[in-house]
Amino acid sequence: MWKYIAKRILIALGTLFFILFVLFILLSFMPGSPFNQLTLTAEQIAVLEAKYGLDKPLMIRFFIYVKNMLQGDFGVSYNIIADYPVIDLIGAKFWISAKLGLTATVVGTVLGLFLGLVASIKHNTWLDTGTTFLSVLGVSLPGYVFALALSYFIGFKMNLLPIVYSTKHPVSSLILPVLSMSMGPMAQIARYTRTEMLDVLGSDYMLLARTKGLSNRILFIRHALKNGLTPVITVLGPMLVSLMSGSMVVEQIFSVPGMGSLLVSAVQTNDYNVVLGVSFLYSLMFIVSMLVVDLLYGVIDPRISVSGGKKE
Amino acid sequence: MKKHIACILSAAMLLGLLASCGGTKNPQGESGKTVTIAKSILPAHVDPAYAGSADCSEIINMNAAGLYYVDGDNKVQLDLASAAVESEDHMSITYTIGEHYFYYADGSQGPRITAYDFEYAARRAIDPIASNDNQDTRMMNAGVKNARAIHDEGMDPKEIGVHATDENTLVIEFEVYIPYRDELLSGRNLAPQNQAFVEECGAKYGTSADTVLNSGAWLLTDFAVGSTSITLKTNPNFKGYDAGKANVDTVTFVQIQDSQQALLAYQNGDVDIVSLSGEQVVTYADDPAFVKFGQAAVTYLAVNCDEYSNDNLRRALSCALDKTALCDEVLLDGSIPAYFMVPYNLTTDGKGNDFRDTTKSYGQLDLAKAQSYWEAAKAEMGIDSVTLDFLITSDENAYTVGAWIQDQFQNALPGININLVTVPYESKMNYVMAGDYGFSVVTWGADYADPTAFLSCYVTGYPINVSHWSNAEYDQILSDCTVGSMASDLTARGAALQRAEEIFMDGASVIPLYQTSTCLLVRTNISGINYHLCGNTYDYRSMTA
Repeated sequence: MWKYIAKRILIALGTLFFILFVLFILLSFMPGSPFNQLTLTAEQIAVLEAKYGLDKPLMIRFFIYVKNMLQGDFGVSYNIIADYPVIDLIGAKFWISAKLGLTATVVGTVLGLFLGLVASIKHNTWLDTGTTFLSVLGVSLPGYVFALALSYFIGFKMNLLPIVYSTKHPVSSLILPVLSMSMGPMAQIARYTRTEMLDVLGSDYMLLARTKGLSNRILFIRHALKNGLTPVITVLGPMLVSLMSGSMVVEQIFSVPGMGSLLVSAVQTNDYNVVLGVSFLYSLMFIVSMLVVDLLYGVIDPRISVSGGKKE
Repeated sequence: MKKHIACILSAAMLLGLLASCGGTKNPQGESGKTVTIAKSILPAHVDPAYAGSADCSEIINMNAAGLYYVDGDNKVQLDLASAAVESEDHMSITYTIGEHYFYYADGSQGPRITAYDFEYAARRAIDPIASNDNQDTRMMNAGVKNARAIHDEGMDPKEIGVHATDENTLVIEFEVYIPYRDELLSGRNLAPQNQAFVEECGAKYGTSADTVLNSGAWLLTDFAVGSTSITLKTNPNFKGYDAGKANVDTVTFVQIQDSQQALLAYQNGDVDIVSLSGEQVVTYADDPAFVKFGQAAVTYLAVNCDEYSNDNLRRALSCALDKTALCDEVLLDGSIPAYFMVPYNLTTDGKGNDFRDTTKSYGQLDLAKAQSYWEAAKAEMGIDSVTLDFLITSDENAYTVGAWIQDQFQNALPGININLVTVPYESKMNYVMAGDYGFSVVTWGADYADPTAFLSCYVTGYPINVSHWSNAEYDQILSDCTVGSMASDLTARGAALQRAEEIFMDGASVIPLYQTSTCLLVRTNISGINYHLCGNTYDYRSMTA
């Protein structure tokens, strides 16, 4: 087990290094320079590029970046806030996106599990039809439709909640963005849960357990729920990362100063270090989440061996 | 199962409880008279040396003061200087910095503002490396000694002609007398900065309320990177011009990126001032809270003369656009058609008349003329048709305007095909700067009230001359009017600049589209905001509510 974990971590580090290298190469192909002020002369642009080491060959810049990064230095911003450390800039935005994404994942998962379980238990009843309809709606409609609808009816018409995010009211002003962002995950989880639970509830081992006289409660929690949830965990990791990395549209509608808008600003202004920093963080989050999900399989379902089967 | 349902119900109740925490009126919870202003973007910093964008300048204009202040009547007044004495040859001004000016931060008095702080600010602002890509050009245009050499020839910024002789005395030396130099020197990038404090803060200077020393009429009390609002309170100790005129205790800027959401927030009572865009302008044009003012900004098509060097081709394009229809049917935001490069209400012709009133209009819609230019171009170029690349940005408004212009050109001039090249918003300037474009929409706003704020951009070889257009007579006039014989002769200068505009428009290297206007909803109980045509647009120093 530990050998497997070590191996996976090594692979993850290698993947991260490779992603960083590809990002570095791609950024060098972006048109223009971070210094776009119309009044700057070619000589001044050259001086600015020398100041930030952008005049050095690509590979040397890459190794300097990696060396500094390993010491916790992700460089400075060129444009968004000149000379401001990228790590601090990301830090200021990341926690808002992370809070929003994490809360949306929790709310979406809880609601999705509830709807999926109700649909599977009350299979072929109006409750099943109703929850399936909600799931289809959640999958089909993009998050910004919910965002606009919630904003207009709950925020504006009913005046119950703020329609824009405020750092002064971080909880109440986060409810509408969270609800908007949780609709997609809710629908996805509900559909997965319903399908898996119906499969498990109709399986032979459930019939056997029932005939052995187990109570419905034990039957459901110990046997059905545990087996039915494995596929949900598969989608949960990437979903969490996706939501935590920020939704551009929902952030725009509710004015959440998160990672989505930071990345777009950085790409548009050729703020290379910020683009690299944010992209690296996304990659790190995704790879870690996949690793955690893989390891969780073994905990939840002992039939899945994380360290591989023994050779016969 | 019951447990699960209980958990979900608890979560729902928690959400309800959280919802009850959300007060929407006076969202910042400030006491006293508070004015809340919606902005689509808030500045990431308030460092005067880096303040290249309007959102930065608006805040800096509140919490910082400088040598001069432009009042509500657009008159330049001394601000943090007790006196200014001009030398007989007009080549230097000596300012007295009174001993009663201090910085304020955290509600307490900071160090004294000295002449050395102005000298340090000037060096930072003119240094292309220290100020990154927001290097000050106002000192250059004001004729401050060595500013042009620092910009063009890489001279050491310490050589700038702004020197403190002692704590109370600041001397600015000039290479040439520019009549409107006081206005140029009113820019907040020359606001005093305490060198020790700036160096102590390092890269974090101006990025939070704790890393700012306030010298202006307002105190920055709440500001941080990533914050959704910025709060300023009146500075009761401010001693500059119009001190104590505002009766508002707190001004809060809140970030609302989406214009529709901003309008809802205004209707909800959450904000007091909101910008209108597009069709919102038409909807609210008769509202008592509706405010409209023109800006000294012209949006135009810059045509790359390296790509399309035929003058008649460019002239054909310039006569083929119905700019009135563009403003009234497409933009709908209060902008007015532009048949000029120097906009209305910017400045006079040197004889007291509006510069525009005593000169010509250019590029009026004239399809017959456009057709004849196009026929001439075809003959000269030996072609029957041509495909022109039109660089636009990918946002919805730009695409709508781009598609409309494409349609106009193609209908008016058969044989001309317009190929829309779509790129992300800010990447566009990379292509334009590199000359890798056919023609593109560019907006240029004046930062001082003089025709040269627009016309200087198109001098041969100037970095802003993105059309790469060149005309020797034009260059000579601009040189004479900025650093030469006519720089201080206002009457001759006015006529010469009108001639320069005529030469420029005849070259059709740019096709003006419209002069931009700004439309707002301002609650009717709020007054005293000064809206400036150029430079810093909004001034709240005498705002009352």
